[in-house]
Amino acid sequence: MNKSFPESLRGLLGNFELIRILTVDDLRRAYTGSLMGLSWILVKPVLIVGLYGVLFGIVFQARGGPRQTATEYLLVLLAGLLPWLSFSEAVSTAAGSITANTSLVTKIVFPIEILPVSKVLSTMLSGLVSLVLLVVFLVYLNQVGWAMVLLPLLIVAQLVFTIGLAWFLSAMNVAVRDTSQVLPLVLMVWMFLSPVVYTTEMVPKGLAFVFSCNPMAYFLDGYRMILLNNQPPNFLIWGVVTAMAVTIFLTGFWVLCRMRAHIADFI
Amino acid sequence: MVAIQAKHLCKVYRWYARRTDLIKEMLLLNKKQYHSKRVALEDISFEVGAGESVGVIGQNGAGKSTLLKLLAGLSVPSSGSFEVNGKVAALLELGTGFHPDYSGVENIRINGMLLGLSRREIEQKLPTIVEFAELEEAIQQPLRTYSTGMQARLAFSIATALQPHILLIDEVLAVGDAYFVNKCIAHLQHFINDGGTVIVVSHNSFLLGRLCQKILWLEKGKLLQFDSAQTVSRAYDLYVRRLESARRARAGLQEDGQRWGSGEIRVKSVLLLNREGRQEYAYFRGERMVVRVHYETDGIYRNPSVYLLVSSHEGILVTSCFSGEEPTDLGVFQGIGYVDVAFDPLLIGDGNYWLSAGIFPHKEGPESIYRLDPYDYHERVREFTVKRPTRPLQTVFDHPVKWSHGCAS
Repeated sequence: MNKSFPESLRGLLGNFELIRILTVDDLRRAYTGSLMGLSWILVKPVLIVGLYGVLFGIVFQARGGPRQTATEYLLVLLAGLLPWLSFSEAVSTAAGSITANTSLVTKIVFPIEILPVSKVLSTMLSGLVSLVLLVVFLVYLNQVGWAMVLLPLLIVAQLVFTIGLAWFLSAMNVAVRDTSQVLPLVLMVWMFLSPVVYTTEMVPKGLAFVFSCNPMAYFLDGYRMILLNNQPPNFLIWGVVTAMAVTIFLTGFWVLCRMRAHIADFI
Repeated sequence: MVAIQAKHLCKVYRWYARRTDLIKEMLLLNKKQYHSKRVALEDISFEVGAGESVGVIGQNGAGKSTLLKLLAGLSVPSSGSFEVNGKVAALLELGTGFHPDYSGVENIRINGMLLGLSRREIEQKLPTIVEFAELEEAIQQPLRTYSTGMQARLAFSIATALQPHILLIDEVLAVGDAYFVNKCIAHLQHFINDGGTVIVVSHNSFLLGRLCQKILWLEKGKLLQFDSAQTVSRAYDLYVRRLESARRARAGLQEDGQRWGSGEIRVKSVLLLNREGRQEYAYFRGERMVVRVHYETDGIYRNPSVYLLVSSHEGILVTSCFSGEEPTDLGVFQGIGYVDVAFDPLLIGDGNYWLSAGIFPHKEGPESIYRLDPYDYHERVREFTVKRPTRPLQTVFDHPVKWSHGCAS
């Protein structure tokens, strides 16, 4: 419990097996006992994508450029919306992962930093399924290129970023329970401030700087470049994405480590 | 060799008026404090040798669980320090992390991992765990089909499979049935004989006396006594009895019972007196207890009947006495006075009891009291406790018996 910061960080790797088992357990809890079982993984994204597709693609006639077709816009939407959904879902469920497991925190000697990690992993794995289906769809359309090999890298960066955020938020949620209430609102605002239903190119010049402050904008741009343009993301994107992931990861872990000694007393 | 050494352990819980204060204190690097303090443990120093078994006893809120949490590493002491030599396992709650939809085996796997066992160790120990829990038949069934006792058995089995050097147990043995508790105790004794160290928290001085060599008595966060199990458990029993008694004496006449009667003679108060003639409301079985019923009246009445009824808190009518049924003459009641009813020795068993008292008109012949209208009947007028000095079995009554031994050959 009184381990130093680097020691705890190393301990995280030692708990790999536990993380794995908790993640699998999480997935099983989510899908066993429900009527539709694993198909729930797809129902939600399909529904949301359908909704946004109809709303923005057909009603608002949103297009990335003058010659873009509805199908092309749908792909643009999917390439942004699917990574975003897995991000927001992971953050919002992981934020409550410590408070939801009070007995694990107060009754057994347990590395609590694992709880947000396995929660993020399990939700992002569900999200990954729909992303894989998108890739399959792109293969069918003959639109994939070699840039696709960079996709796992981007996903890992997003994972690292999300875990850091989850650590921070789950620790916060112990002290301020409003965190889990406020979070959906913040995520909603964040989503519309990110290039999810539109692309960065569609943003007016005057607002461009707002978007340059948003780490998720870089992730989403990266996904679109890889998936739709068959183009490796530029150095700016890689730089920002890596820096953000590492910084948030370490900051989140630091916050959790600082609060860990008090969480059991306070929860 | 010393297994646990605690030096001036203190635990002060911080009380934050607002939750945001915690965050301020945690994340701002300034030294300003935003909390008020509540002392849970104060200056606790003790030493436990390897292979010793120590019980921790005390009232609710004495700091027993806090002490265990500190030793387990679940909470950090505010000041002071402790040293633990060897692998520690803490059993603070049975079934932490159990999932009702998973089978027994799956729960063993997940729970074992949570408690820090590796996959290999779990597979190795699986048969032993199942065997000890005596769940061979139900182990593939989902946990929700298990009874509480079965779950307790499973949880205890998993925890003991950890094979620690030091085992910390908090009140968990209270869950299982007598058979399983005995089995656990036997297992713990085995563990101690093999050189393991056990710290058990309990309210039950009898259980601790059976299991432990020494007992550490905590009261309001302070260490009151740390001595041989026999010495401390006796002192503790006496202390609890005094507290209980004082509380009952303070409570005075109970008002929650019904009261009725014509009022010619009124029950003024009912006191319970011990051997020394002092008020006492907690007794050991076998002691002398005198019920003193004070009355007041404006007239003169010859040999009225006094009735007492003892009922347990569970509603069982335990015993009663009625002077009208016996060839007793209590004489003339006039002005104020009292009637003493001696229970000597007191034979009822462990438990909390209500005493009801009434005064009835004198009647010739074997008349049931239910046909009589009382002068005054006060239901549940007093509360008292009886404790058995040895076995903590909850029998209503311990029948006096005579023992003899015959040789068959």
